Amino acid sequence: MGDPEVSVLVLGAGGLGCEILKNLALQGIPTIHVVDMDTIELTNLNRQFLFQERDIGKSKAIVAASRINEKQLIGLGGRLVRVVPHFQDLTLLEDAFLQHFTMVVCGLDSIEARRAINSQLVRLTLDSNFEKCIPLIDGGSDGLKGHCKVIIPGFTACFECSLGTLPVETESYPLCTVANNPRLPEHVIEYLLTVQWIEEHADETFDHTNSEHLQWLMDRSLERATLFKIDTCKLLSQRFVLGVVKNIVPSVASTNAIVAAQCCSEVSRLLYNKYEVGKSDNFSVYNGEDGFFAYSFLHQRLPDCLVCRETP
Amino acid sequence: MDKFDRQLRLWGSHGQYELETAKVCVIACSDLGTEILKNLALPGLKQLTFIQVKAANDVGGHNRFWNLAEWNVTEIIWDTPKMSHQNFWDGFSLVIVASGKPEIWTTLKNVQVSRMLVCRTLGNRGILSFVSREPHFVIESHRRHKLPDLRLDRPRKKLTQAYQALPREDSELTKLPYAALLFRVKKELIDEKLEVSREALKSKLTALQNRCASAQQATNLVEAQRHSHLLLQNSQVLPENVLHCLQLKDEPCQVNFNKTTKVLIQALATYLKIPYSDEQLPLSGTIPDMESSSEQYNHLRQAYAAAAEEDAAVFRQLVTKESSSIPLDQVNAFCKYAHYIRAVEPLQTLERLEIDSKTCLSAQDITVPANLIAMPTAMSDDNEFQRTDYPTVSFMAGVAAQEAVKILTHQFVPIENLLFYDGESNKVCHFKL
Repeated sequence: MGDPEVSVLVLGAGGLGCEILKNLALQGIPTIHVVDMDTIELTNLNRQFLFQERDIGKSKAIVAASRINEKQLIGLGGRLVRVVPHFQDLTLLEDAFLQHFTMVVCGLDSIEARRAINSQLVRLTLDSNFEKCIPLIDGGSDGLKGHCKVIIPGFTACFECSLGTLPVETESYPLCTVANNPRLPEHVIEYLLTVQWIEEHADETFDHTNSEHLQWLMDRSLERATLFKIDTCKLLSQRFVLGVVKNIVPSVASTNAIVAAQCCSEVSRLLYNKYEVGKSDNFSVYNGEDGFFAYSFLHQRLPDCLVCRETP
Repeated sequence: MDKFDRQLRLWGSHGQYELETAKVCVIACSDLGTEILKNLALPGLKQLTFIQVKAANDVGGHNRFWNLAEWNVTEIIWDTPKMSHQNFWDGFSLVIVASGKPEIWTTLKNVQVSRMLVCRTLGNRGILSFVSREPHFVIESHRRHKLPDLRLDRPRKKLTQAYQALPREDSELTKLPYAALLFRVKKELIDEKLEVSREALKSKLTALQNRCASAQQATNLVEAQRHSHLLLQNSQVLPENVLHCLQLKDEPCQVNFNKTTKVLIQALATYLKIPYSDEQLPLSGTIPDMESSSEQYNHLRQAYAAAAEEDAAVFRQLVTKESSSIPLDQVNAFCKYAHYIRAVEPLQTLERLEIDSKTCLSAQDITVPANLIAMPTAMSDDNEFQRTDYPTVSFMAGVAAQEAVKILTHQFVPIENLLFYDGESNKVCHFKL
């Protein structure tokens, strides 16, 4: 039987967040808090099922919470499932707030935000001399691929211990290529953003949400590509140009469902004491591009991890 | 920006079109069915049918979480006499069976359904299988890591000419793409009647480096060293996945895309036999980025694109002899991705699934609850039990929808052909029966 006193903090109310919140609510977790400072956009609606077109511009956390609360679900111990939203920056949570939770589940798209919550939770454990320990479950999705990590702060590998397994963040091109020998549309865009924009607009930063800025980029990309005889067909598409500018990661409902379910299944394992610290696999990855590849393993702690090593 | 922007980056607007025009039917009695429908409605499937199977002690459960009307789902109740007619099933592109009720299975065994996904959960275990009597062909498999398609071992005349037209002066060396450097050192070895081996190539490239004015190592020479294996490959050897497709080229097919791809594979078999092809697959026509001057890179890029267009023109002629109704886009994509075409062999029938899955899973030392595959979900009144297992339902619904999307778009490679999930350990096993 689950303890009705459990409370779970969900970080991120996006694609993974919507799935995580729905699963936790249907798993009967009576107290759920959700933190997200983003607002709803049109391109979220292909996967973030708690939102509708009329919600565009509103806070993700607030809308997600009210969608679940209005279902009036009954949770563990006969308690009503209640989601409390926090429309705020999740890297600025106070220790006193975090201490209330049984565990934290993250569905974030930023590595920096993950590192921040990871180090805060590890510090809570170390500072309390291992009396306080709030497990962190981290989900991530990218196209048809995803991962799920279980972190028992101070006991198992923390997010920082596994930084080395992350792919190189973005591809950057040598300046010589970008400036003198562009060959790809990406080289053209990189030049315009890093060199030409500053030359022409010294007092303004480029903002892809500003339609004038974006139009400038589209026009100049075509000019420069033509000058260097680069294939211009990709540069005619705003989707392609924005994808390069924002480094957009593809995202689809099914991947989020798979990863969020893995995270929530870890919540169940922890709640029902089926997780063996130091023995259970704590790291799993999946790739659905070719069949279904899934792999779980035990990631060891790094003895010299800057975040979770015990001796300073 | 489009609502579907984030997924169009995966399967393009042609893939999205396939999804929006597909007719999919989900047969289920529980949360698993509604979760699958949600995962299909979100990416934009518009013609969804939900055949509800009423369990004897159906309490409605969590279904009130969802509002099916939001997704334009046609809801009907399972009706054995009506659904025993073949014509009921004819219009569906895909049928997802998420119920194990014996009467449903008996009915489905007696009709022809072109493609089925069987998805079941029991407690924290789940199973998914792809069932169809025909091979499933994929042209756009989206292989992530590709070998550059340069054919340096057997370049055709046009490509040889393009390489020979590049400047030969030492001062121009650092401006050349690595492919040109490799072409040059190979030619030198052949002219000197030396064997083209890894060591010989390495020393030739080092000699080139020494002729560069700068003491610093040139990036294009480093790239040439790294890619020297491209000279040792044999472009006449067909990849396993292509051979597999060729083996299946005469299998009977009902699904439109499989039918047309089958014709393309037959045309490929002919193409490989005509002297023009030199037993090589059509060129993809795209080359990787190579450190070089824009001018020399463009020269090569255009030469490869032109050569690929020539291959495609020859190939199109062969196709027209077989059938004139194949969309041009599909023919061109086939030429472009010829190296990466795939065939998946689904389980032939539901009977095979029942029999073979048991023997296979027990041989793998996986204990499958006896009623996981074909029996109805044991409805439990123990709510706590159902709650802990909700993630398993959600997981399997995610996998089922992902496979449905891959099957309907014929992009990416579906499971071949059975997947087993153990929610207790969060482990997935994938088998071919």
